[in-house]
Amino acid sequence: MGQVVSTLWGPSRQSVNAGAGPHFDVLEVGHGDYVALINADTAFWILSPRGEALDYLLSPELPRAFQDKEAKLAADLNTVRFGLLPSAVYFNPTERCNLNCTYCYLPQEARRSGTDMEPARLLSALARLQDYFVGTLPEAARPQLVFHGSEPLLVKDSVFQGIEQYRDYFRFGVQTNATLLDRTTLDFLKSKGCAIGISLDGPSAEVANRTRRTWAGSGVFNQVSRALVDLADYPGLNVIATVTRENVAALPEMVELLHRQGVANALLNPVRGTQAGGRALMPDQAELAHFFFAALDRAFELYEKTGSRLVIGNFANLLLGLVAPGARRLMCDISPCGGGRCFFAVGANGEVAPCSEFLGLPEFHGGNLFETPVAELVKTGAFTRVTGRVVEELTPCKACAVRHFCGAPCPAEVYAINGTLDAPAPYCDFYAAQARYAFQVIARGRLDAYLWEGWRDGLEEIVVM
Amino acid sequence: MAKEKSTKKPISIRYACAPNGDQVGLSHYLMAEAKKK
Repeated sequence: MGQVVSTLWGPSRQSVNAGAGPHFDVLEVGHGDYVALINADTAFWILSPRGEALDYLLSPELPRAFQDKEAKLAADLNTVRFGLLPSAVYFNPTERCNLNCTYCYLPQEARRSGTDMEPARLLSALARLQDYFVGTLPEAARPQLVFHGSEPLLVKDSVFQGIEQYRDYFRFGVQTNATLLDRTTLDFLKSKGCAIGISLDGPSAEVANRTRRTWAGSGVFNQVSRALVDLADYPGLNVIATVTRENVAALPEMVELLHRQGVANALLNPVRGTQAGGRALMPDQAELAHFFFAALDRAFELYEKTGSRLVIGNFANLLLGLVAPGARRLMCDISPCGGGRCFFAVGANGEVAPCSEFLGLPEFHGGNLFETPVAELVKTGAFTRVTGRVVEELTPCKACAVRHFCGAPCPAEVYAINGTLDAPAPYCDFYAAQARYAFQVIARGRLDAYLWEGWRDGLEEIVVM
Repeated sequence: MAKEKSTKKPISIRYACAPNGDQVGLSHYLMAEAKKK
């Protein structure tokens, strides 16, 4: 029998955390009463009253309580990082778009005059995807398929036939710029229970039209606003605002507009620097943090005042990363990210990439859906480079207390900016600030106000202290 | 001199997904259910 080593040293009943015990980082969270003590490997944390932090670190109580639950904490985090199967597809049925948004992650030439998928080809693609998922997912599983873009409603015939024929298997969604959402289209999508995501970048035409314009240069704010009114009560609606230096200062007003319109779910996503247009519009991180947090404050005030909640999905996901990391709903702030391991993207020519962000980077195409089985595509080097990217191997992430609340996204923009996947998030400072803000939310007792109703359903509490 | 104890209580909140249940959640933009291996 080998030597037994105790990680908590010292005389019996007086054990202390003397070096080989659990490690906790101390994080200033910007709250008057609390600091965070974080075991980064398991994403475990405790908010300690400032004056007692040293007692927690030096006495055996916290290390012992933590060690009792360490395996369970680690297993839950491990599952969401490495134990999931692909169960969603972002599917571009056309390369074309009727808009020319300056930050798009798809190459301009393809968006102007690229390929459309004819109905028969799209149906053939869905058949191949269904074959793959039937062979990998549990019997009752219904994977998600989001028609994405470019603008998917430019090829309505193909999209509608796909939804009609496969709606008993896939759960469909459509991410659209909303300019082609006429009455017939809305009625069809609603009647089939499709999720509908709308892109809107500002609370006014003056702001929104700075980045989202037609090829001729005219803005589409008024059309999108009309669609928003038509969809106000639709439960499958979400709104995505891409945050750039052009609209960052308007984020609080954006929250007011969405709340006024009855929108329940929105994402305020900082623009990715995967293509040159996006890189040129990336907001300053300090400015982004300032206005993003002001928008979150505004969402809380509106909830307090009206009882009606607007969930900012990307922040809610980070909060979940703190309180229930295995239950996160978005996959960008997990390492490895969800690209290629929880979902993948299919382009209009059948090319398959780990994520839509990689569709414009051919070196990350695993191959073609019409030529190679999906099960083989997701094992190619193009995929495993992304699915193997973990914060433990990145500098400075490997030593960062919030590495599992951030995930060092996004590999596509990291690669485009640095020429390698082995670099931290371009928005590193912002993500760290966001983690600190999330701890403030918890310290102020506001957690539930920022999350979905019933977010604890199906979860099991792990009581450490 | 004895140190005064803070009136603030420590806070720690952590939930896990049920061991045999599906993960709640997932996806880049919308919400779906992830499937465990």
